[in-house]
Amino acid sequence: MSYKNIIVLLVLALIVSPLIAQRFDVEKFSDPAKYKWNSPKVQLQSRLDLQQRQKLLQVYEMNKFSYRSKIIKSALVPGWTHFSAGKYAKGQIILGLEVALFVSSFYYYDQAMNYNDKYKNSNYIGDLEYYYEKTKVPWRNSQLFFGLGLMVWVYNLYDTFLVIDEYNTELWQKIYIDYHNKKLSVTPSGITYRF
Amino acid sequence: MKKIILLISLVIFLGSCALDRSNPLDPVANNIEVPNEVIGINISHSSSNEIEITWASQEDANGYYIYRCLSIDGAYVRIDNDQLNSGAFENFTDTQIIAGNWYYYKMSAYRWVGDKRLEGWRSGPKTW
Repeated sequence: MSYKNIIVLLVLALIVSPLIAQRFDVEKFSDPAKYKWNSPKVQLQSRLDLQQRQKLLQVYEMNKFSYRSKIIKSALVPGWTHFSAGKYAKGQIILGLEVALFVSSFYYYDQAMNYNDKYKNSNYIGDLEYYYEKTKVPWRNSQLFFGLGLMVWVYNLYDTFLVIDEYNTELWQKIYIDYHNKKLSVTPSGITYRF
Repeated sequence: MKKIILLISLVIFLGSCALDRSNPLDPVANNIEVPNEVIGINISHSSSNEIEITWASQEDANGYYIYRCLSIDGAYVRIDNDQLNSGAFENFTDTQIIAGNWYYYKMSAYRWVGDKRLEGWRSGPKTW
């Protein structure tokens, strides 16, 4: 396509475009009724409400449980998030179970390793058989308690997600309800009292 | 529900795992033939300071262990003697005894496995 043709097409496009373009309706765009702001007073009230919601959101953001930090803490100390959320009974059960299961697992593991060392150092066929058989039961118990401990640990992480969700939901509701029930509020912009 | 089944399976799997038979002398893991129990043991009090022990020698043994104790179910102590380091031997004279005491003996055969000795089943206590 030559330059001439391109120029002719551009000129035609410029001539035709005002004919097919839609007229910009300034009144429609800035219609206050669109947001139900029927008066400047209502508009001001809406703005204040929006600002207040932003403040509430800031309070919520500061106090809410962070998934990442709570999951890490609960992974290291099972039941941590439950204690933080005030669910002491559940936290105690989870922590108690974890401690009991892992301590039991370690106790049996230690016993099994003790017998296993004797088995490894044996050169008498009677001792070999005796200590290998003696290793079996504590080793199985150790694995069993470890597996159960692992189950409780995984459940603890799963339940931590639920607790965080529940806590954050309740926190937002509490902040919102507290704000609406509060008659007197002190803000940097002044003191407000609602009748 | 699938997760619970998976976790329970994991617990059962972990519980069913046994420790390895890691001792190089373990006949089950290493397919080693265990020396037979020593048979034909005969003990005679030849003099007041000597006790003679005889047994049927074993071709596949590299030596023998003899244990001694003053009571039948006490702690048996092994007699350390180079004379016992051959499978071909079939008698031993114990001279380290005190006249007037009653002694009990146990015996077993051993075989070299690498640089270690695998001791076979010990005999029951024997006396004269």
